[in-house]
Amino acid sequence: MAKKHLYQVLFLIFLWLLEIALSRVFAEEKFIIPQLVLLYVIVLALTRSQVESIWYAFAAGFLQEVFSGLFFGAHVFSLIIIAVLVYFVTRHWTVQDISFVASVLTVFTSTILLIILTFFYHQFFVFLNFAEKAALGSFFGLGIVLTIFLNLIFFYLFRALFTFFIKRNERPL
Amino acid sequence: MPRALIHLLIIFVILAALIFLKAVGPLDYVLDFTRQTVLYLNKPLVQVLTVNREFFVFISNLRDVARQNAILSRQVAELAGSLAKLEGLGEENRVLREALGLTSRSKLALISAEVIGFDPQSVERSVILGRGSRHSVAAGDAVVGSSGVMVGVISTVSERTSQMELITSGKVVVNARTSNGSATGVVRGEHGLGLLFDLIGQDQTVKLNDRIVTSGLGGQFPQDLLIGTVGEIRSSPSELFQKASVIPAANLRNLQVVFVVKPP
Repeated sequence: MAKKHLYQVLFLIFLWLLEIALSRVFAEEKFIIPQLVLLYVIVLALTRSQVESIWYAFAAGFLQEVFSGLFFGAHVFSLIIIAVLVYFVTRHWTVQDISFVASVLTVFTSTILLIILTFFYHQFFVFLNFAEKAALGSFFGLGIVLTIFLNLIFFYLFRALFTFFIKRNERPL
Repeated sequence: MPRALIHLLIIFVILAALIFLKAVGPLDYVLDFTRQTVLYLNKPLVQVLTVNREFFVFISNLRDVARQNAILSRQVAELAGSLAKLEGLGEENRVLREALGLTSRSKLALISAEVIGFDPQSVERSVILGRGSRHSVAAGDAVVGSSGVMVGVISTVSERTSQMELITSGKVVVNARTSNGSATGVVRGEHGLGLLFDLIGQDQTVKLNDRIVTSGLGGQFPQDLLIGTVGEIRSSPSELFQKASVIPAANLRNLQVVFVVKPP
């Protein structure tokens, strides 16, 4: 059990470092960088228990805060909400082994939701005069379509990886 | 109460505590240390990715490489000639200044800083630099790129790292003028979407493609740092002040090494 968590934490840290390295090297083409940490949270919410997924969402959000220019907590808050929503939807509205259409909708909604939640979280603290205003337009761009497409590809990769290790080591949830 | 809800409440209490710690200050040391650690851990990954990127960029630009080579060779020859003329003018300038008793122009003190991270949500707002208070970086310092163009302002400083607001951020306001002195005003970032040259008097002249530089008024930033060029005039004679959009001179998406400007 402890070994499983250790591997999961190390994998999360690796994905986070990779995403940071990609954002440094491909800064001019930021929309071709898949959101690896977000996808990790989504796949975890799909394959693990709710408690486990929200704690990992918290850890993932905290890592994202290290280089964030938004008010502290924006990524923590957003990733936790996304983890809760993905868990809820895939346990009550669809099946856990979600179809292609459901996968596309999940990835698409999560990508857009991450932007919207972080923006509104930040705007809340702008309203309280704790932060400076940020324009929603600086978060969005037409390239978000490419990001969503890349997210979908990596989503299937991560899901296959997790499913493989779950089948190998544990009983399915 | 469902177990997950209890854990959710615990997490939000922890988040509130972390926000408090961030506001008070202790969390900055943790974030600072983490950024420094990431800087070292990421070096192999960044090198591998940079090689891959350069390879694919080279492959996709093969057709243009020879043409660019010819253009650059011609430019080098032209610049060599201009440099020789400038060296002569520089010497003449020095002699005249000394003759008139003027002090020589102060040179700016620069602290080089590597860009170690970008805001994951929005590249257009802020970046993290690998220099902090122990390297004499202070909040409010101007930051220029490798070509001497203003790229931002230091907003927060930790011991070993600092956060720079890009010049296009809404937080940044700089006293500015056209390079020929025909207009003065302020340049403010438009929340990551561009720059606005504002508060220009109606009796002043600003034209398309005018170069905008810092004026040095107020003493916060050195003068004559290039900011950008006028892209569009956005006002009419009936308004109190003129406004113009400014295209930043620096490529703010490809910053790798920048220089923090310290007053002389």
